[in-house]
Amino acid sequence: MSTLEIRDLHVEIDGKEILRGVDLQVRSGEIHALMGPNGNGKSTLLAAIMGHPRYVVTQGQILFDDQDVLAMTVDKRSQAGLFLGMQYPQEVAGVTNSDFLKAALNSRREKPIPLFTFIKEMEKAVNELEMKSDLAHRYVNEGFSGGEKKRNEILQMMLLKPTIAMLDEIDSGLDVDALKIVANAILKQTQDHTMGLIIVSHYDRFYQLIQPTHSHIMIDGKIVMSGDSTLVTKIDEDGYDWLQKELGVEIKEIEEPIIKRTSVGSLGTCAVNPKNGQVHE
Amino acid sequence: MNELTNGTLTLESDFNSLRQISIDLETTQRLLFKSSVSQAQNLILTLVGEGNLEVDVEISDKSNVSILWWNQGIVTVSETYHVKENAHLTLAYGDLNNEILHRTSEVLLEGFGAQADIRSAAIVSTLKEVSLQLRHVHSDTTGQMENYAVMLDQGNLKLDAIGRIEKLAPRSKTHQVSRVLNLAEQQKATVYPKLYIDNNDVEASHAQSIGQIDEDQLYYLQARGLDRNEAMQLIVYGYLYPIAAVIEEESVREYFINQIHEKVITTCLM
Repeated sequence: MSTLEIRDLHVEIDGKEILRGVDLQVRSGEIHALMGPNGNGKSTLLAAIMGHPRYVVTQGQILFDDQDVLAMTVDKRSQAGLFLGMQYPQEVAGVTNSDFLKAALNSRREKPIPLFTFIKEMEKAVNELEMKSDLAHRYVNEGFSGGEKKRNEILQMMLLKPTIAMLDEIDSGLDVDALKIVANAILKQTQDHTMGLIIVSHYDRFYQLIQPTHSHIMIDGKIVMSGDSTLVTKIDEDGYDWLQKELGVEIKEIEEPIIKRTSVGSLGTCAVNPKNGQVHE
Repeated sequence: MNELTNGTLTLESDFNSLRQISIDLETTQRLLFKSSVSQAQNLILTLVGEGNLEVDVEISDKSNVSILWWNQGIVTVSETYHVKENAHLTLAYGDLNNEILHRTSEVLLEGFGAQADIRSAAIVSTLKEVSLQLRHVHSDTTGQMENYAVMLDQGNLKLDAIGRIEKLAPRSKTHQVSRVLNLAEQQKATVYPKLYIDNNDVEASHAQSIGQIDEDQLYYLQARGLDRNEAMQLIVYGYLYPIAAVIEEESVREYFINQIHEKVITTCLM
């Protein structure tokens, strides 16, 4: 039995405080739904737990069993058994899924995984998620549709077998059939490995498939209410307005900050129109 | 037999699938090759020593030749390739050594249906001046070029990537991509992607990027357990691997993949 414990967590992005004292406890085998209007800190909490360099923890603690998570680098957090299925998975051109996953698996093993074992595990996961069989040889997320990217996150989760997985809007971009496939894969993982889960989603349909054991509502950087799965249904039916009266808090939907990428300079592409030979920049 | 007379090395063309040859620039100033069979052939040419080299290659009708230049020398080289009717040339350059390089290479697509695929990979820690040209002389020819370079301290890359479709080459296609990855402060990379198009009925494109390693990509890989150095190695390896992919024979390909891996490990430690 493992426990992830967040105590009085305060987090800033670019000097602006986003999380203002979050407390949360997740044990292996539990499924926590994290709800709340956009821009109130749900993704920030998950990114801070994983250790994204832009998110600065100014106060509080994150403990994973007896380990001080905040003292660990991102890769050590992953090796310790934390996983974040990202809302916007990165494309990494030139790096194949197979090389990436092998390196990720080997990072948590004494000896490198035998090639045959790796291929078998990969094939099994690819089949279970009903993905295309050439996945191993494609570059990480490059040219993937939104749905394929999300399935690829789940595939990584299946191979890495984390103790606690955090899924940030993993269901967006998936159609109804894909949603079922992904939900089944997640549930199987939860049962087979008593994995703990924190799920951020805006869709009741996904929660119905996953059946959370706990639920939380996050507003303005704080968890303002916690309960069981009935709270998920209530939010789906009534929205968040009733909370305003009950708790006397003001609820705002805040646009998510767009993280600008400045590291890559590109002159882009330009093509010649096959019809008239003109160069367009 | 390969013949060396007065500094001119004439490569024998009648060989099965794979031939590896080391070219010593102290004794060889000129290299000639003319393909004669239609089965796919792989040539791996390793350059050693210091000097000038002139290369003249003809890929005859319907033949299919892949050439990997593995550069271990200090060379000024001028190369011409004639690709004939329905012939296919794959040209790969591995310039991963720390030496100065001057290369001018021109691929002439001279026959109907001729195809050429150029890929170059370089680690640049000194001057490397390279001009690669795909020249479409005949109609219905196809050319593709992919250049990858990793810049280290004191590196100076000058790369001309040229696609030229001549007036009498309708229905030709020429595409090119050049990507440069900066791993150092003190370096200079200049890339000129050029397209000269003299016919209206063609397809052409070029793309290029020059940039540092992407922090978001590093974070993504680290979030799956790779440490920062492993993540960098994987990304750099991705820039260099495509040249090894041209080798059909698995054991030989493995050899070059290992060579690239070793190079990447030392590169990322710098």
